[in-house]
Amino acid sequence: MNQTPQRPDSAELELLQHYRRHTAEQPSAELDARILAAAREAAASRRETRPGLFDRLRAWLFAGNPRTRWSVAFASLATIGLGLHTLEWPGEMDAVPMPRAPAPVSSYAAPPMPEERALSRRQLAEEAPAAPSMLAERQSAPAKMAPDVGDMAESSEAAGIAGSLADEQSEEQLRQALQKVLELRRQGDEQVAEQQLRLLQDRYPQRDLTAELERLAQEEAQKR
Amino acid sequence: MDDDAALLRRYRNGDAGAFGVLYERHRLGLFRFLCGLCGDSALAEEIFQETWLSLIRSESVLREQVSFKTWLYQIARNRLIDQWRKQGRRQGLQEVFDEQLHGEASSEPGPEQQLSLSRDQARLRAALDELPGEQREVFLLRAHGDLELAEIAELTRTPAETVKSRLRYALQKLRRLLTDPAAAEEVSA
Repeated sequence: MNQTPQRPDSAELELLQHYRRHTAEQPSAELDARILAAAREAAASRRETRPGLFDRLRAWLFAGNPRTRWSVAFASLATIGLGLHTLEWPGEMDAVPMPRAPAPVSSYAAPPMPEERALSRRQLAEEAPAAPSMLAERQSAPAKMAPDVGDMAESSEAAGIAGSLADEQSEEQLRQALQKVLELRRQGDEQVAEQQLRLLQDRYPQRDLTAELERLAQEEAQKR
Repeated sequence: MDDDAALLRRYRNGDAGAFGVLYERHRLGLFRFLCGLCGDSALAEEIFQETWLSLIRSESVLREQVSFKTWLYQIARNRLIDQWRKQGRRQGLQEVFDEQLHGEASSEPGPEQQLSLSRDQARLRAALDELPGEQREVFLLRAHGDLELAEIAELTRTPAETVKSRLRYALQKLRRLLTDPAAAEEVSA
C-alpha cells in the first residue's frame, strides 16, 4: 500500500486514547470460543485436504489458459537448466589455481530486491491480458534467480502470474454468478437467489456484492 | 512477530494457532468499532461472528496492496450495511452533514479542557450517537481500528481529504460534547 502515515496531533491523540481507555465493550467468552472452534475445525480440514506440491503444480498448469502456462513452465525449466549449467562452469575452472571470478555467479545467485519483485509482479499483472507471449519471457527472467528446481512451483513469480490470471477468471465467474442471481430473482425464485448471494458473499467476503448486484441490474436494464 | 498477512497465510495452510494470534490482535478493535457504529451489541455480535466466519470459510489470501486490518474492517462494514439494507433501515452512514450545525466548535481546546473529558460511559456513547454516521464511522475506524486516514479512505471509498475533514469535525464535536465545564473550572482554578 502506497501511503504516507498521517500522525495525529496531540489533541486528536488525546481524544482517541480517551475513547480507547473508556470503552469497555468486548465479545463474550462464548462468542470467542465459537469462532476459535470454527477456525480450528477449518484448519484441521485444510490440513487433511491440502494438495501436494505435484497436485498444485498440475492444477496450475491445467487451469486457465494452459498454453500460456505450459510456455511459462518450459521457459522456466529451460532458464533454470541454463542457470545451473552456468553455475557449474566456474566450478570446472576451480581446477586451475586461479581466484574464482565472483561476478557471473553472483548475478545469478543474488536475490531480487523486494521492490523489484513487487514491481515485476505488478507489471506482469498489468500486461498479462495483453501479451501472453511476453509474459513467458518476463517470467523466465526472475526464474534465473531461482537456483532450485524444487522451488519452481512455489516461486512467487509463478504465483503472481497464476494469481493475476486467476483474478481475471474469478472476476468473470463472479459476474456470471451475479447474473444468475438476477435471473433467479426475475423468475421469482427469491429464496434460492438469496441463498446463492449468501454463498457468494462467503466466497468473496471483502466485496459488497449487494451493491455490485444492483449495479449489474442497472447495466442490464440499460442494455434492454 | 509475524505480520498479519503471514499469519493469514499460515492459517490458510492449516495452522490454527496463527488464527488465534490474528483473532487476539483484532477482536477488541473490531468489536468496539461495530458496537460504536450500530449502537446495538446484539447486532454487533452477529456481524462480528459473521465477519470472522466468512474469513475462516474464505480461501482468499490478501493482495499485496491491502492490509489485513483494512480487509477485515471492510468485510465487517459491508456485512453491517447489508444487514441494514435487509432491515430496511435508513443507512446510518449516509446522513447529510450540516456544516452550519457543526461549524461552531472549530477552536482547539486548551489544556484544561483536554484534562476534563467526561469518562462516563453513557455520555461517551451519547456523544458518539450525536455524530453524523459518516463522521462516526471515520472516528471509530481511527479510534478502535487504529487505521491511517489513507486506509480509511480506501476502505470507505472516499477521497482522503473528505475523510480528513470528517475526522476533524468529529473530533471537534466530541470534544465539545465531552468537555465537562465544572471539571474544567476546577483545573483552571
